Amino acid sequence: MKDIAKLGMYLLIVCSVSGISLAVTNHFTAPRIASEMERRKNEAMSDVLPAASKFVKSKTHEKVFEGFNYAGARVGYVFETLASGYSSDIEILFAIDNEYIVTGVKVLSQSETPGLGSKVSGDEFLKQFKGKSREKIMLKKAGGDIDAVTSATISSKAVTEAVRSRIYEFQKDTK
Amino acid sequence: MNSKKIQNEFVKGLISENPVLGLMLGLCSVLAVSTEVKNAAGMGFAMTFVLVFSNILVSLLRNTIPPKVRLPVFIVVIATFTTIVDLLMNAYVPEIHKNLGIFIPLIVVNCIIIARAEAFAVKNTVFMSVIDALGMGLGYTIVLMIIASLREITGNGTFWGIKLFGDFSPILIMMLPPGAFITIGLLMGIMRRVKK
Repeated sequence: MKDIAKLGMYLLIVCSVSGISLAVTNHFTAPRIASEMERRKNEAMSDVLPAASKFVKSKTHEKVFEGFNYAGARVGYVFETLASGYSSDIEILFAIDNEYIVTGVKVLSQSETPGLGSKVSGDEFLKQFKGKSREKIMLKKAGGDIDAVTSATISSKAVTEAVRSRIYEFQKDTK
Repeated sequence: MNSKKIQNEFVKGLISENPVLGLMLGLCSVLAVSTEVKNAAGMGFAMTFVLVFSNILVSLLRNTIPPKVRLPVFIVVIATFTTIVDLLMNAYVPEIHKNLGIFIPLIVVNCIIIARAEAFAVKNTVFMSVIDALGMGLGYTIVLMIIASLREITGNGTFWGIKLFGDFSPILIMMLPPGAFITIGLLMGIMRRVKK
């Protein structure tokens, strides 16, 4: 019985020390990590919409950012959207210019099958979207212009459809 | 402490007690990250790093931990240390964290870490524990990279992301978990043969 109390005390001390050191570390690193995430997001946005230098959250649409160039003119929109893939939700960031032509697509996070579906986050697949209008953004099988990743039709289709339907919704809203 | 013993503790992790092919530990992470050589290298490096420090910590504490509660203490100590490193890396060296960060949650639950703490570090000096960790880490990394090379070349026709063949239809199953099992099985067979 005495033993249990002693061991319990020991574990309590170990866990308290561990909890305190985690809390202290988190306190000092959290702001840096948050600003790093912010920076990374901005970087990703200028990757998909290179013409813009400043991004402002849209007041009328959710999860949409308006991109402005140095002169202050609006050059396009950046969208955050989700596609449900084969085994996960695929988080996508993409941008269109004022004529609704896609300027770039990026996959922010996904956990599709490693080595197959995960390739939808690769450049080889995503660069196909660049310079295309909504009508062309469909898998070749369905009559569009996008080559699916080999053996990952579901993941490819999910990304393609998510981008296409998001542009469609937006076009409908703004017209 | 003679150099022969040091050498033995280091070399055992490579062949006779190789964590993957000999002790059959950490197979879960091997399945997950061996589709690309690049990922395998990252995982191997991160794993070795964590293993060295967890062995140091456990070895330092080995005389103060009551034997009855040693396992929960190991787990708390290792998980705390790994999380602190993860947070620090994320805050101060984000570029490295971007590449290695995804492996860290996999490492915390990797049984090689707890196995080395229990089987070696708790009974040996800090120095010997570091040697053991380096040998085990290197053994794990080498095997992981061999498996990943075989899978990436046959299943995708690339090595480290570079295309090897012009016209090549990849063997799809090598990219899926069965391909990993087949490769590990064959390597284990070869290893047993060599050891005999």
